[in-house]
Amino acid sequence: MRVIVIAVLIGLVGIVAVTQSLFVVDETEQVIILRFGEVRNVHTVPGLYTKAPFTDTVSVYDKRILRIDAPPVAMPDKDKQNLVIDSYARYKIVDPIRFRQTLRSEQEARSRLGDIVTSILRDEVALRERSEIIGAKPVLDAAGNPVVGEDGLPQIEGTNTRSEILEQVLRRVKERVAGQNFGIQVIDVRLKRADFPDSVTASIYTRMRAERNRIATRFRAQGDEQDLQIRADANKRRDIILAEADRKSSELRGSGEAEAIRVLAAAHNQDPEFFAFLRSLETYKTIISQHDILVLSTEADIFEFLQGPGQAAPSSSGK
Amino acid sequence: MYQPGGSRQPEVDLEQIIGRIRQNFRRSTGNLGGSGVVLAALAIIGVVAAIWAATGIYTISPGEAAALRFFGAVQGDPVDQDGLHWWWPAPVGKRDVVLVTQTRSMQLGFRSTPTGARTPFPTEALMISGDLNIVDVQMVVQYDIKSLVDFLFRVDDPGEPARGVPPGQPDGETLKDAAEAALRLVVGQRSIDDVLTEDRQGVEAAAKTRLQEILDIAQTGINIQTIQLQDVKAPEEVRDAFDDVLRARQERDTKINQARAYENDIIPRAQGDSERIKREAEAFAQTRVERAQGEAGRFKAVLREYRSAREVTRRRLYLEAVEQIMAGSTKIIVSPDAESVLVLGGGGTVTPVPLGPKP
Repeated sequence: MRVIVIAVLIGLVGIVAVTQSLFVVDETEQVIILRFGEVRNVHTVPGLYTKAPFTDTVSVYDKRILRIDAPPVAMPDKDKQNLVIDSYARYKIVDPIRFRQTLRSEQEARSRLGDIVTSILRDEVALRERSEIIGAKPVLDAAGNPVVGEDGLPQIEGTNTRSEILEQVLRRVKERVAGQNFGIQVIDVRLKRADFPDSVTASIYTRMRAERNRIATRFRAQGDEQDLQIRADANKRRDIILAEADRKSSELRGSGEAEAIRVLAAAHNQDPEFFAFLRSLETYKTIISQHDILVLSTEADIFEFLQGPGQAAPSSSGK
Repeated sequence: MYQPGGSRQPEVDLEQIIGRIRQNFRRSTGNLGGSGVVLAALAIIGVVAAIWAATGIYTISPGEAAALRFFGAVQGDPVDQDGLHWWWPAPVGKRDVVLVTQTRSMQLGFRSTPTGARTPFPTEALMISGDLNIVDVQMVVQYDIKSLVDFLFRVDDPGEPARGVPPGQPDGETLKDAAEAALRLVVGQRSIDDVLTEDRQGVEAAAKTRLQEILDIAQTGINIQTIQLQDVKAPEEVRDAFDDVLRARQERDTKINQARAYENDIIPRAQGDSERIKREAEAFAQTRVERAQGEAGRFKAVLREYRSAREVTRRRLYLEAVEQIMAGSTKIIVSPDAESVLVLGGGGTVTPVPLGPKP
């Protein structure tokens, strides 16, 4: 029995000793070993480590990239117009001892670093125009006037100004943090949002609506314009085509008639007197119809023989 | 499957484990001189150790990879060979088996329920375009894991329980922050019309590039596969005005099309008319000439005969004409000295008509 008791005791002591003197540093961690508050050692490489039991305590710090989400803040831009800027930053603890001395906890780091980022952002935003923060500028032509698109709105082109502002902010945040020697490294600063304050949203919507109404009106007017233009043009072309056809027609008819006159005149000129005779007879036939009443003289040539047979040739005397 | 020297990837080899235990067992029992109690205790320890060792067996299914830690330290690249594997169980080792090739997705600007209904998320969706308009953008980010070690151990994140992202994985808030930053940056460089209609693909491509950049700076191990814009529209408050622009554009195009149709209707007709008029004129001219030639020919022929017998022909032509003219008509034949005439009408009537004074 004594053996068992001793074995169990040894076992218990052994377990306590092992848990007190061995500890694991995880891939995501770095630790400071403190003896009565005094730094004894720092481990940033993961693995199994030993410490003095009971007297040494392990203080764990994150080795991963940590996130700071600053609350949205209204900041005036160069034109004193407010923009709501929602930013975030990423950092990591690179010197746990300095971190422990200056910031102590991640919570403190979040608040201090958040303040630094916000204040530097505020400085930078105050120097910039809103379009630079949003990231586009109007397209200008060679004369420096804004280029207007099909819809009547000024055209814009994207710029990298927002990224440039953020690079500048990151550079300044890094400088400030290095100056304070917090034991951290700032990795990235980004704008999650740059929005209009809620108070101006209504007026933005009013402007958008007015702008769209203008575009719609313009489109409709363009429709009418094109409609009238195309129809007028079509009518003009039709009239020209027809007028040209008429001209051609008159010319053709004229030349046909001319040819006809020439041909007839050439024939008739062979004996104008006979033509006059023959043609007169034709005319009489045409102009005197059966319904006309003819008043004739008894002395008319046609009745020459009505009153007598007359004399045969050679006598040619008649009444 | 056993890899010699591969201590970081021990394969399951029960025989070897049992052999080792037996060996230790023999050595211990030898040292302690064969006490029965010690023997029993060692046997219990041995069984416990064997059970503990057996919990280190795990499987890798297709698409999965396991990141292995030994006393907290990552051991080389993750294991991605399918099949049975063994790794030190806790508290010595740790293993994280994750589906790495699976496409995961994140919604921004809306959330869809399992039934497919969509709830808009205006705070995420509303953003400023480059021309200082407000636009409502909903998108889906699809991603997978390109570096499991980075994904698991390099970035802290509160996670997003609603999407099933546990704390510590960067596809929670980190991915969301980055996606919002990237999308807003890209939309801020474009006009609202580009974002709404004309340059959606440009927005998707640019946002993808930006997002990957941001994620790589933060060492997240996430690979963005695609960014797909879903509903992109004008904000609710002004949507009718935007719709009216679309309508106006349609109306304009319709008007233009109708005008073109009119043009296409009348121009060919006019050309047809023109051809008709010209043909008619040609026909007229030609007939005129033909007739004239015919008449001229006839005149010449008659003239030829007339010349051979002038007097009689002339007389005959005259009489024939008179005959034709006077054949059926009413005739009043008066002596130049008469003072009245009798008109012999049709139906045997006789009407005396006084003559006026002679001119």
